[in-house]
Amino acid sequence: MRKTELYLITILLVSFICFAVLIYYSLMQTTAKMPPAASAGSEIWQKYGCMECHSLLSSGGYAAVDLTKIMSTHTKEELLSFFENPPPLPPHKKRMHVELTEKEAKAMIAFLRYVNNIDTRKWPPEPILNDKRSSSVED
Amino acid sequence: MLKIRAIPGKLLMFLFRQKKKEPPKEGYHSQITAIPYLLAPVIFLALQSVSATIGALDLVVTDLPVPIPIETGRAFHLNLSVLWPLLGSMGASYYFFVEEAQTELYSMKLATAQFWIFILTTTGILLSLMLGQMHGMEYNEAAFPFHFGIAITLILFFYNLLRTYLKTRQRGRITILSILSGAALLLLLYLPNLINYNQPTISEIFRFWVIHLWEELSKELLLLGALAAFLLKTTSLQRAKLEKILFLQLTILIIGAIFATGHHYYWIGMPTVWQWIGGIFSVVQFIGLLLLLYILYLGLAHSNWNKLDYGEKLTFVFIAAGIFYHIMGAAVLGMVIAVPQINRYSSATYLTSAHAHLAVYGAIGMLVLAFSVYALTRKQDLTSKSYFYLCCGFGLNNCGLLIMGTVLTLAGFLQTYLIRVAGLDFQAAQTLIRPYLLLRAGGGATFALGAFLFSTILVYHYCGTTRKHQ
Ligand code: HEC
Ligand code: HEM
Repeated sequence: MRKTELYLITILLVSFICFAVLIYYSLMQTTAKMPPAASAGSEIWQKYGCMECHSLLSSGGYAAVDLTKIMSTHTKEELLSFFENPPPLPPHKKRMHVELTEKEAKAMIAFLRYVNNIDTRKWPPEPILNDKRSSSVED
Repeated sequence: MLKIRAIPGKLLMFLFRQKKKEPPKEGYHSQITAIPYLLAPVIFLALQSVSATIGALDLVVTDLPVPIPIETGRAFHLNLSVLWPLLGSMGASYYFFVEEAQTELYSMKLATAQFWIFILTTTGILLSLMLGQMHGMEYNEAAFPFHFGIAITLILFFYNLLRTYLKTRQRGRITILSILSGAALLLLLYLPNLINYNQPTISEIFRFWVIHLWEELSKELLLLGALAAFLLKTTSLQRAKLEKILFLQLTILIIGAIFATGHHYYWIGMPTVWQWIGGIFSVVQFIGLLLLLYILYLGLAHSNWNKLDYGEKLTFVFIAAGIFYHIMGAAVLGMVIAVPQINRYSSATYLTSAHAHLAVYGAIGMLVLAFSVYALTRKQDLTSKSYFYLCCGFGLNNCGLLIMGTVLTLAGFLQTYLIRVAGLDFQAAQTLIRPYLLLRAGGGATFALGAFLFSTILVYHYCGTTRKHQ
């Protein structure tokens, strides 16, 4: 084998293996097992293409609010009624938000709860000005 | 070929070719298999830009009657943005690999079969999206059989190149090694994505092997090899000199891109160490880009503009534009949003969209189009009239892209400020940035007009030459 070939294969393999090992150890440290209800919710999330409009874990679309921590600000009942009677999608008046059956909505909520518990290193961020206000109140 | 070119009008060019030190390279027969690979992307682009403009209008016009909902429409657009540059990069790879290896392709039949499998799979994916089939893999939105189809084309691609490599006497040439490693990585990185993951963190990890690593590593390796081969062929740049830089560039590219994947792992539930890894290696990627700029500079410094034919000139123009957007979109804008402290506020806003359009279309798409222009004008050069129209199309398209890039950046800054700094409600902010989105649709229309013009002229030119040569 030529030197250039050997060199390329070496840096490719070494970088890639280090990368994969790093990912493996990171996952071992952080991910919690998914309960079956959350898994079912995940499938619904995928089937309806929610990520084309909403971001989750910082990626996805940006036509609507990030849903990573939605379960910290909304109750189960609020979301159930949202999914059963969805509003129109601005700027449209006739086109409605995706509607979910009660069963689907419950699974979705289990999924969003699971996501809510992931340590996302403070994603989504608190608005900077709100942050200051709340910290000055604490002071 | 030489004789046709030596007619008086083309005499200058003939002289130029004579000056070259390397043996005359009038092409290899199997390069013809690369042509469909380079023709189809031009058509896909026209289709994509028209449909995307309708999609962009749908974001601002109340109850616009559109055939498919916005979520599948966006998926349609995103899948296309991965697929046609992939097809074109494979075409450019075949075209220049053969030339650099100085041997015919191992199997033309396999390459043709691969092309048709790719087209069938892509058509299937697009149709299934139009029917509303979603699977939750942004950018790579398709059912398993389609993923499998793509995997088959990747296997055929790598196998064909590997067999060609094994029979060449030019082993060790850095241009073909770059292409070969790009092909291997395309396949390797795709494999984990054949499966759909429910767990969101794991799903994100592997998804970015395709979104980030395909774009910023595999396709870049393919296109870097093609670019170097093009420069060696059309300029007086010396191989030994270029190879030294390429060697460094390859090292930076591989190490930088692999670990810079970390900049997509900041907030997906991975440990904080990824903020360091992602941030630091994004800087390495930035250095790689500067080196790319230097390679282009060397190429231009060693070329004689007056002696290039129209096709070659236009190729240079596209390459230069591609590298400009690479710097603006991928390096400047990308670098800004890759810093974790900034990314925390800019992620999932229109800044990402500005970055995506400049980097994916500007950097990768433009290079693919450059090689399309090159390969499609080898049989016969452009007439001055079609050269003129192609330049107009290019100009319009770039104006459109620049309008989109600027407006999306402004919208992104505003959105970041309103939501992430001032704490405004998301939908309230969305209403405030709507005027920018309307302007973006205008940019899109300009873009589409330009894309349509140059696609039509280029396809028309190519069809004309094949008729003449039959
Ligand atoms: C076509 C784009 C689109 C799709 C697809 C979409 N959403 Fe939405 N979603 C929106 C918009 C826009 C709003 C804001 C509506 C409003 O407040 O007027 C919203 C609001 C929400 C809200 C309420 C947020 C809040 O703060 O009150 C939830 C929860 C939600 N969506 C969940 C989902 C789920 C789950 C899916 C997939 C099944 C989904 N969305 C698919 C656009 C979309
Ligand atoms: C007429 C030209 C185009 C128009 C009007 C357009 C419009 C859009 C729209 C509406 C979106 C959805 C998200 C958003 O609102 O930004 C989008 C996203 C995207 N487009 Fe385009 N597009 C065009 C051309 C292209 C081309 C040629 C490519 C690449 C080959 C491309 C790549 C992308 C990518 C990668 C995204 C995802 C961005 C993200 O999620 O951050 N676009 N585009």
